[in-house]
Amino acid sequence: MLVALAVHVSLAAGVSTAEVDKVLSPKLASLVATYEDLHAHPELSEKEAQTSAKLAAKLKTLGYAVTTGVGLHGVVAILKNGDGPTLLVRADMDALPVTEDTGLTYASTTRGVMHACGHDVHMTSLLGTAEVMARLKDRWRGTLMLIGQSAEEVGKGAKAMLSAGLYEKFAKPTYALALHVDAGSPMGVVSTRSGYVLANVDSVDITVRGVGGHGAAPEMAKDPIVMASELVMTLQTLVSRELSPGEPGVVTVGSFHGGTKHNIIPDEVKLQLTVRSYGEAARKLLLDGIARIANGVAAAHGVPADRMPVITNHPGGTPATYNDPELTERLTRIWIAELGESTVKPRAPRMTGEDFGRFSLPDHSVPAVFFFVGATDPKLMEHGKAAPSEHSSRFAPVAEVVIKRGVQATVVAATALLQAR
Amino acid sequence: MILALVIHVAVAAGVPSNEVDKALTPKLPALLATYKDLHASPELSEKEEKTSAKLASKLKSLGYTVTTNFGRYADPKQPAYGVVAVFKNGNGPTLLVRADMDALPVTEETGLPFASKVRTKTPAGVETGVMHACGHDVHMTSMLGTAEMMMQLKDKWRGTLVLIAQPAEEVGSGAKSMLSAGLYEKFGKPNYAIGLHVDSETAAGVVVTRPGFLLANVDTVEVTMRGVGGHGAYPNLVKDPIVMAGELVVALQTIVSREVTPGEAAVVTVGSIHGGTKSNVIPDEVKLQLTVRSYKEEVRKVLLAGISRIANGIAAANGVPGDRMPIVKVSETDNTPALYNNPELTERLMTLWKSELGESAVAIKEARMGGEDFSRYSLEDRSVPAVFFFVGASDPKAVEAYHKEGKPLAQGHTARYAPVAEVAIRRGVQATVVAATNLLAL
Repeated sequence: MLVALAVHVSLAAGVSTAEVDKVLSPKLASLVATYEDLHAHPELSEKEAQTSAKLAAKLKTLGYAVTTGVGLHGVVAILKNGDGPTLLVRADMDALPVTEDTGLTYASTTRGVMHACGHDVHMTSLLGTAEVMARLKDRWRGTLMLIGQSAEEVGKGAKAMLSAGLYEKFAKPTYALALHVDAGSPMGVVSTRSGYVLANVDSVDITVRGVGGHGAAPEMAKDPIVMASELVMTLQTLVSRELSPGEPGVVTVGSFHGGTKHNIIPDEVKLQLTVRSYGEAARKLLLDGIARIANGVAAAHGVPADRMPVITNHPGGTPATYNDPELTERLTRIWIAELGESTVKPRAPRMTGEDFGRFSLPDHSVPAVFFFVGATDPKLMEHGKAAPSEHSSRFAPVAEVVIKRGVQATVVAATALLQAR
Repeated sequence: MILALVIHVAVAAGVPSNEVDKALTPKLPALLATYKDLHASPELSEKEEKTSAKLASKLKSLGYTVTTNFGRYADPKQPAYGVVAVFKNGNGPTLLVRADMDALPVTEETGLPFASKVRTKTPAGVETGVMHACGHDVHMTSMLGTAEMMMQLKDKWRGTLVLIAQPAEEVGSGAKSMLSAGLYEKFGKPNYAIGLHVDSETAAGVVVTRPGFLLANVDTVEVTMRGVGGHGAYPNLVKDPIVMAGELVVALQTIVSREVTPGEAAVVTVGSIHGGTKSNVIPDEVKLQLTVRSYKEEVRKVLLAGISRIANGIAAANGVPGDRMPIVKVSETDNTPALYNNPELTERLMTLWKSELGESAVAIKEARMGGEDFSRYSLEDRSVPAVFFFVGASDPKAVEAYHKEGKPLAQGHTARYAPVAEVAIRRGVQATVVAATNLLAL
């Protein structure tokens, strides 16, 4: 008890959860109404015109200086509150091409489009944070930069905002924060980890080219199906033999297509790969290795020089999400103190992707933390059962609990970070 | 010279080539007109209704006893257009001579004045041109020539001649349909069977064949490698069927390299492999289509057993659940047995042809891994000695350029294939009649 008190005192620079709740509780009903409206009117990636307009209007009425159209439909809302650090808080706005099947009263009214990844929760949490931070502005100093980002699902939005001069026109933030709902955790649980939390995502297309012919005369052909199969097998050695043991990496051939019938050897086979890694060194090792192996297998088969494989690395990849270890430790201690030991959990790294990592910049000079807020009723998770996950047509987070916890976690973190030195 | 004369005398039973020519030459223009008509009106496999009617009426007018619509497919309600023409000419052996009638779904591009303009839909519903791109029109015309010659020369031989016009060679169901309908029970089990085929890689008029295996067992196998799909970023939570299918294709190569006796001909080709929809989704299954070729039955068994064993072994090695083991289907309908030329009969006919057609007009053909359902007429126990032979049908200069310089040649099954028909038909009739009158000698 004494120890806990001592910890609390040493972190007491920011506001407490109790203080957040006093301001937040009377506003929750209207935040949930906003959430239901956003949920009912989802817009696809790069098409978030109405959603961003709603967000901008609400942030303006709260007293923020709002700029719209910053990188696609990006919204930037600034609240300058004296001298101090700058904190970026980001929410994403786009929905998915999924036909909703939740049966909720506020289900999507747009057929084939659904907020199935919780971006509606993220936006509502951002609005709650905006309101509480504005109300408590005598408790912090510095600049709050709230961001509504387009096109997270297609990996374009963060890049578009940075290319539009986000850090040059407004400010390069001292810290960056963002949250994501998590169907895999009980509602209200906050989880994150130091270091890499989500992966580099790269897409590679390979056309393995041979020389086709009759299936009964293999000696006259260079069989691209045999070459592509050898390629799939040899690609496995990138992770097993070339990456350091324990270094995460994934090379998945998700699509393999060649040929039309049994007795014709085709001219080519098309492969589509997804490649996941954390650090830039691992990423380069995998991408270089894929090209080297593809060319090597073709050379081993004596393919003519003009029929070597065609390897295309897609530019739309997203970099790994790297949580600054010092900042993550600091926030984790604050959350344990403010939200309770049992509410904060460590998290295993995943090989899925997110473009929030871009806000750290390639040199990680903006310390950032990406954290998750559990969104599932624990009753649905008993006996090892899984609730409908993100991107599912039946994904239905317990929004009120998640929004409340999202605002609490963000505000206690933000007010702790925004203190005059 | 003396030696040659001795050989000639030794094999001289039957009608000599010059006597065939004397009877054949005045008939050639009419045969060529028949050929052009057949070429201009091709019909797809199992649809040879008009073609078979033309053949039947010509054979009837020559004096043969003709049975039409002979054959039974797997679906007994489906009509079959086989023709059997019999001429009993006293006591003696029975000889079966076969021609095939079906054309291919190829749109003709030869520019010939008698080119096919026929269009139709394949069983799969795809609009296509139809063309005699495999020379079956030459085969039928040769058979009509043979029918006419044998009738004219009937006092030079004794026995029974059974001419058959077979449907559906290209899809492998025709010979089976005729044998299933009781060909040998109703018309007599032949003492010999012969069939000819045009050869685009051999100079026009040259007869080529070989004793023993000439064409391969053709088997069709479909393999579905089943795993457990999932997200491409979570390989540890799935059983990846693309990796398993990749292992399968690579491991299948060891059947020929490590399991088949060195020197035995065998082919395992994966012609088609399809799995997945996009980069980051691991699919539930991958489908592979294989063609499997061999000569000997024991090699065929090694190949088919190996495919199944390796597919199951790879699934087991990957820890696939018991209910997701691979599905391996060896087609029971899409197969053709190897074509085996009876060695004694082949030697006999090759010696005869060298003597009658000239040494340079006869050559040994290399064995191929293609397939032909003429093989079925030998029966599984090969109790009907059979010879399948090829008649060169390409311009000799083009053939030389092809073999010496690798210059492309219009091959069978292609839109520009145009055999030198008159030479091939003439040589086909000569070779068949000298062989037939020798086998059915007085």
